[in-house]
Amino acid sequence: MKKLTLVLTVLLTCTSLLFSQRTISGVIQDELGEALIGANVLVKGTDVGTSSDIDGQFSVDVPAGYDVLVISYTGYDLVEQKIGVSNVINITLTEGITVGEVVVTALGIKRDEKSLGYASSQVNSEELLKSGEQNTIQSLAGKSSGVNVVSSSGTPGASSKITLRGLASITNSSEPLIIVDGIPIDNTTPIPTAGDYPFNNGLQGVSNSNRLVDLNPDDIADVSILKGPAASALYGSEAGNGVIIITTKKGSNAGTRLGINVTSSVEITQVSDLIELQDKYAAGTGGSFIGPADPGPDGLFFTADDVATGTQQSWGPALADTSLSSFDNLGNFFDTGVSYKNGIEIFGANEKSNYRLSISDLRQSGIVPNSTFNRTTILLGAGWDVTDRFRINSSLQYTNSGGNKVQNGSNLSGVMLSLYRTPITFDIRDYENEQGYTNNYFFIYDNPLWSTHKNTYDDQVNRILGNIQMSYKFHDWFTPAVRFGIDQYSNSIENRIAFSSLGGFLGGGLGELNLFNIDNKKFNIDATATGDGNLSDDIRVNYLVGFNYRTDRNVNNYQRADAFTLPFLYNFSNAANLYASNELIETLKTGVYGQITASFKNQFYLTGSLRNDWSSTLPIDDNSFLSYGTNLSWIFSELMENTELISFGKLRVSYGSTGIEPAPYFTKTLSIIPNFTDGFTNGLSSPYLGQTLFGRNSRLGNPNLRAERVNGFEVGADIHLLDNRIRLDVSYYDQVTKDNLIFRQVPLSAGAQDIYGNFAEVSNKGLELELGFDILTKGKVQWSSSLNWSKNNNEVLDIEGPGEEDIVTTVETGFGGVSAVATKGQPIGVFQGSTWVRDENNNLIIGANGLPSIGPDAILGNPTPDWFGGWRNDFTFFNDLSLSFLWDVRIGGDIYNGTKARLNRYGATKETEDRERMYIIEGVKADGTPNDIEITPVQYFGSYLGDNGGATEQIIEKDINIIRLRDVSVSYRFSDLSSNVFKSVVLSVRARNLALFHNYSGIDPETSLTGAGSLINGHDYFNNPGTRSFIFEVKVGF
Amino acid sequence: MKKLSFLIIILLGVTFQSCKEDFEDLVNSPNSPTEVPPSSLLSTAEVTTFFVHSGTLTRISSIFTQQLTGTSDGQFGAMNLYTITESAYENDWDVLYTNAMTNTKIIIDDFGDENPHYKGMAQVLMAVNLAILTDFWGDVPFSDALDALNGSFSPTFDSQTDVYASVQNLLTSAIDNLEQPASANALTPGADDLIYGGDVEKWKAAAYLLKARYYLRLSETGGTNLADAMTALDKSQFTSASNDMPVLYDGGSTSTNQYFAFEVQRANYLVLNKFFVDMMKNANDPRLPFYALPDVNNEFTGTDKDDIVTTTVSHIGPYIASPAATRYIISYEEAKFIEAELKMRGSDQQGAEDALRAAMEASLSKVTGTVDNAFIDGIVSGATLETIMDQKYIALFTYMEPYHDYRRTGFPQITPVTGFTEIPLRIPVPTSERNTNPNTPAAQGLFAPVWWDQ
Repeated sequence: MKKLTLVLTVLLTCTSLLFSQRTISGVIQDELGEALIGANVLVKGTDVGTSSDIDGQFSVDVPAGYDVLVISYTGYDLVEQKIGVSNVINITLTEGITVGEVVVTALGIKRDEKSLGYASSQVNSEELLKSGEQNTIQSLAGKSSGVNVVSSSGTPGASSKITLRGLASITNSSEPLIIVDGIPIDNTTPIPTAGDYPFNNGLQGVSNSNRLVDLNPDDIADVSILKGPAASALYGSEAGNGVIIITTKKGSNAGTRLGINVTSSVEITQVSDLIELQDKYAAGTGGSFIGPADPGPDGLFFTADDVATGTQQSWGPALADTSLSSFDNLGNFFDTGVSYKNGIEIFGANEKSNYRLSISDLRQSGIVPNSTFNRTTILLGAGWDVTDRFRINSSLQYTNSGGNKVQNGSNLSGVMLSLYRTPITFDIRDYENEQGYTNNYFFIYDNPLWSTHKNTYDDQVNRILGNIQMSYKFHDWFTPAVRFGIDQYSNSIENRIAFSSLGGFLGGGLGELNLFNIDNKKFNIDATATGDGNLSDDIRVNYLVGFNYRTDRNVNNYQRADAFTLPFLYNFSNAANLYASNELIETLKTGVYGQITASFKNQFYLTGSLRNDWSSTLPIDDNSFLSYGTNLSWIFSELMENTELISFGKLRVSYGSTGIEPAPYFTKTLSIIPNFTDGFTNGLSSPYLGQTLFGRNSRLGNPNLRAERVNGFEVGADIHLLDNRIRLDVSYYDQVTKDNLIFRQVPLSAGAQDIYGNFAEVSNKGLELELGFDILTKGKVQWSSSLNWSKNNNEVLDIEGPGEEDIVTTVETGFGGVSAVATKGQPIGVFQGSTWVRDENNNLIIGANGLPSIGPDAILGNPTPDWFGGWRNDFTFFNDLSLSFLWDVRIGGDIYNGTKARLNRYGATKETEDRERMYIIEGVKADGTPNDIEITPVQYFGSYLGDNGGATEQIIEKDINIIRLRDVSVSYRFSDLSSNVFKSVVLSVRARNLALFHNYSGIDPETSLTGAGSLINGHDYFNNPGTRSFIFEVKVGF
Repeated sequence: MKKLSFLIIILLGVTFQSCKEDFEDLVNSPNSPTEVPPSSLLSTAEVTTFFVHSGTLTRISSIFTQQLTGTSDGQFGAMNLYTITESAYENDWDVLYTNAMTNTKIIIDDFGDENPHYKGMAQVLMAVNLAILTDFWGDVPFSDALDALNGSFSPTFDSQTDVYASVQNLLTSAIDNLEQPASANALTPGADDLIYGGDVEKWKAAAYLLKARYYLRLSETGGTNLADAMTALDKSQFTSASNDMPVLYDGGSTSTNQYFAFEVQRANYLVLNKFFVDMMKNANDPRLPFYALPDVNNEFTGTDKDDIVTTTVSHIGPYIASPAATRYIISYEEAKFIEAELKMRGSDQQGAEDALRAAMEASLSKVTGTVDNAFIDGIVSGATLETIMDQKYIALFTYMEPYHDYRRTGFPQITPVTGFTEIPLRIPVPTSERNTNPNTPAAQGLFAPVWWDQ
């Protein structure tokens, strides 16, 4: 690689041999200072002309005797500029009557939107910031068609999962590629797991962060979303699930020498939604009271002096019949979260350069005590025109992020698990005994307040994101450029499981210290050449060719100490047992690519792109694969003479095919350290009595791996009516993932769990609609409204099995009772679980014990919504006061309500208050007569509605609809500032999740227990609750 | 410009060449090897077998035979009332096939020819695990199973008759291999053999004893099984507890006793059953304080088989659930119980009583550290088949054997939970097997007996 760098450096610094009589150059930009690419520059009275490049720059040789330039750009007013003495002319175009938007496309190429033959959604800075989210992924929720965002929980720093269109892969991530300033960056959600932990750690532990949280949303200028393979083919692999292109703010070219903005905000966060619990019955079983757990004088359980183990059941006596008092434990548990964010940006520009420095600091605290997320970012971006032809752009970001995360999910120290089960007769505020150990109602759980105070999970990320780009314009037809990018972070985690807690990886109760060190590095080089020009008066062509080199290196080190001698000394010297595991994953990918666009009479635009990749994760002798795309855009409104009704009209069609490489190290079957478990304990593993264990990996490798392909066809129309007041954009797409790489389950009796290979085919078809309407455009009140709507049909077309029969394969290991599976004819990730035995009329068959019996497992539901949409309204009053709100709607989709089932079983839900009677389950007895066998409330809520022998079908809630007022913001701009110091002052108040309507019996159903690092959706098992926030912000410009 | 272009082309070529080397460097995982020596595989196969002898299959055996009661604090409450989902035993099926059977098969196929001792030990372990599979599930894949690596993805289910023939064949072949001289081995097992430290004679004795156990399992199917069992027992040099085939733990984080781990992580899921506690209490059995922890009133109690709610009774005691408590794959006391049963069935009352006495002495000495002869005398004299089976049931508390013995002999005399006339006679083949293997037979109910249960 060094050699390549050397050559490019030589190439870029070598002097041009091209001369002309008089060369006029400059930058063309819009009113906001954004460079306009592809603006036409014509020397008036000649056919000499050029167009502006990727940075808005142009350079034109003006023949002697001519002194006027004509600058035109779709959507902007035409400008005629007289040439003066200076050879540099910078021109600002103002938006005109015809609409045209500049959008960022693959590899950061800015293009006139009308030339695109595929759908791409834009979310600008203002829109992004309206919901006040600090996770950029979460802030995209509801704002564009085809973009599905699911948050994992309301705790600070928790991950959000995004999919574009639908799930394209069964067992691989379907998350899009994220590009920041031209560089692919890491947005994984690491789930740090001990090498000897046998289960899916996503089901317990903490809510980890997706790494895009390291970006400060305030630094983002705009987000461009490329949804289909035609749009993203130029990125090749990893772009098969679409691309999200983020451009950070740059120093303005708009004339200001120096600008300073200071922003401060305070956010108040509350719990939005809790399950209603019963408040009439005490702890206990069979109507008898059971007191709290009592470990005896030593304060520890599993010792000889234990007095009582307590209970998590609330089937005790009615409170009214006892002298016991009751406590509002939910109310006593949650805090009001207060967060502060302060930022300063300094920016400026002169004719040769621009710069922007942004520093921000975020201190979040959540509703769960001691849950925090802090983030400090420093971003420096600069551009420098070394000569008229040689340009350098660079940005460098440092982020320090992290905080304390709380234990959640299926976990003995999980706070929601323990909190919801707390009998009302126990007061959680008395959380610690004399020795500092947990004091709880039930001996194996941690008191939830004790857990938040003692079991810490300190997560620290230090991250550098940097890029430098250099380009040298030899000629309109040849501008080589090189871009280096690096994304490196280290994530160190110190997790303490305090003495007496039975949580953690081992659950020994004698304390545990877990240290994780994750080191992740992505290095990326793109070397490109671009060119642009007219072939004739009507035909214009631009091209791009390039080479890409990319490495990813991920190191995971884990160390654990457990069984402490001194209770609260968190040091390895204090532990009886030590364990360590490590992992290194390294991949390399190179690619060559090219794209060419031809336009005819500004009416037809045809683009073709081609890319070939080589990946180290493919078999070494066959490691190359191709991606390609083509798209056509036709501006049919150019043909119309009368544009009063239809001011702009475009039809577009595209087809693309993108390859995705396999996961690393699966071309061979490996031998690994085995874990043996039956699901109840962590089981046995290596080392064992001094011996190292190795056994064949039950995930088989495959020497015949190929890249999978996402093939997509798309048609769409973009029509603007009534002087652009109404804008309608419609897309229909049909995407098929062929040769989908999956871990296909094999019969365990064949000696393996699954085999990795190109076994599946997945289809996503859908319709996307975006509608904008400027309802009131003139006068003191202005109102514009926009709507987006998406519907996607996801279907597994085939899973290639050993025989003719359709096979069912697990998407990701979940809980015992319900699994997320894929099978032919069904969407990905449908629930599979146990059913009730029914007769031919679908009646439950009730046994002699009054209960229905368990039948075979079946497909029970689909967690993906049928459709979703967003409705944004923006009002401006008297130019200075603006109001904006966004409704977010999701219709359909099923949820496994494991929380409710378990709480029913323990007699904790509100419904279980109706327990002074017997129940009869509707159904028929074995002889066909209606059931009349009475069962107790414990049986009814435990074994029928609950998960104590109840069928999974009973636990799945169908057709969940959610309507959410996602954000409301009011801001006031002080326009008449008679101050020399203050240039602008804006006050804003925002509210998030102000209103929420749903038909789910649990908490806020936009929920994902396992977070963005997982493929499981729609699982609710003691998830952290959602939140409602109010944000007050002041922004001052100097 | 031309020279420059030329230079670029050359250097791009160089770059691609160096890239190719970079690709080659990244083909192999730096974390996991593709091949490992038989020593690691043997340790792995043994630890897998340890696990199976302390996992869910042992717990459900104890629940079905009413040594333990599963409670509604966990999944065992439903199982206690015979509600068992198709996926409930998937993990056990998984560990048995993808770990225990697969890794023993690799030793046999890939290393067996040059290392008959490794092969013999692997065959013994495979026989033990295969017998467990068929005892719980009936017909199971074996003859064309375990070959996914060669693209065989739909194994057929062998009849239990054939599976038992395979078990005996494996043990016969194992004995042949173990009898090979050390010089016939390229590598010989040592410390990697956690069970016997490479002692081939002990492996042979265990193999014969296992043959006897599996012939006796077929006691109800007629034929020469009882005689074959006696012959195998006679050949076995399993003469004392020093021959015990142990399940070893040391309390380490990856090697802790699984009953202890279960009690810590799944506290209250299992409590003692009233039937079992009463049986021991009525006989003043000195092992009770070692098998059970006293309840809140400092008494030994169990819950009734139908009560899955009450947890304030005795829990599993320290003899079973301590971090480093040893368990057994097969033990000297079981050898003596097998002998007692065979002699009783052969109408050798004195021989049966002597063997029963030896079995009880071994059990009491192991559990309590002393031998209470008065207690043993009271039980041994005039013993019947029921006495022998009841004592085996007590001696093998928390093991799988009592469940198989009950199905075979009907002893001890337990009453199924309310609403049922029988205890479950098998467990369902897991969902994933049905999902993926077209040869999976239609699901049979829990109350369809396996072939040897006639």
